[in-house]
Amino acid sequence: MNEVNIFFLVAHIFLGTLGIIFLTAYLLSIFKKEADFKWLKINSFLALLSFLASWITGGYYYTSYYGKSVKPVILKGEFSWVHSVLMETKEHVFLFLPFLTLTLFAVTYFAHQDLKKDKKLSLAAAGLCFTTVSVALAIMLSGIVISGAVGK
Amino acid sequence: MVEKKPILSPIILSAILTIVAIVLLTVCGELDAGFKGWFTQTFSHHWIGKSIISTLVFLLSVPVFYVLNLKKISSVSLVWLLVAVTNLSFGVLLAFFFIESLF
Repeated sequence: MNEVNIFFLVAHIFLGTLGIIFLTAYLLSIFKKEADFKWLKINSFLALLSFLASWITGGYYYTSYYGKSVKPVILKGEFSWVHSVLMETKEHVFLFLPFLTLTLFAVTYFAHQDLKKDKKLSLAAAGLCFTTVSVALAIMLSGIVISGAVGK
Repeated sequence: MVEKKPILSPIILSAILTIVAIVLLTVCGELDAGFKGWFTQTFSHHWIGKSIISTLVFLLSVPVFYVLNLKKISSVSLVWLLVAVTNLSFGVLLAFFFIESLF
């Protein structure tokens, strides 16, 4: 693997992890008695930027290196299902994340006055954030399993 | 802030539509090699094609839903619908690729 691909591989993991951290911070903040809505907006916006950047960097690595060099090695090995099931699911479910975080940011930005007063709306925003974090964590765990399956 | 809220429902609905579109494009692409081949030929990689089309679906559906002015549907219900569609779509894709790997 050349240095460019190493950079994009590391960058997409780092940026995806950052997105998870920002969303976790959002989830912890929204349940506070005196939630700081300025920080909720900032956290959701930074999560959106992180996932957008992870989309681009991960996409570059996936389309330029993974398919040609990693996928054939996994498919020849003992754990070929890791590509057929986990990677195939991961690469497509990842496409949900930018739209989920954009929606979370839109809810926080456009309805922040209602989020303060309306418990149902803040619970729905927390539910959306929890789902997004769960999807992102599942993608991250799949990535760890996929890395482990190379050459086995 | 109240005057800004009419955009919220179109954004949530568009996210729902986009996620459904991603699932449909993925499943159809796996079942029909010609369809997946079209993606690869047109966009250089099927995943790039799905990324571009899903972005277009989102960007084009926001103004459409905005014009439709669906004020009667509450934002809370739409957010929960998005949560349900996301979880269901994840399950559908995982189950689909699991079944596909068996055959």
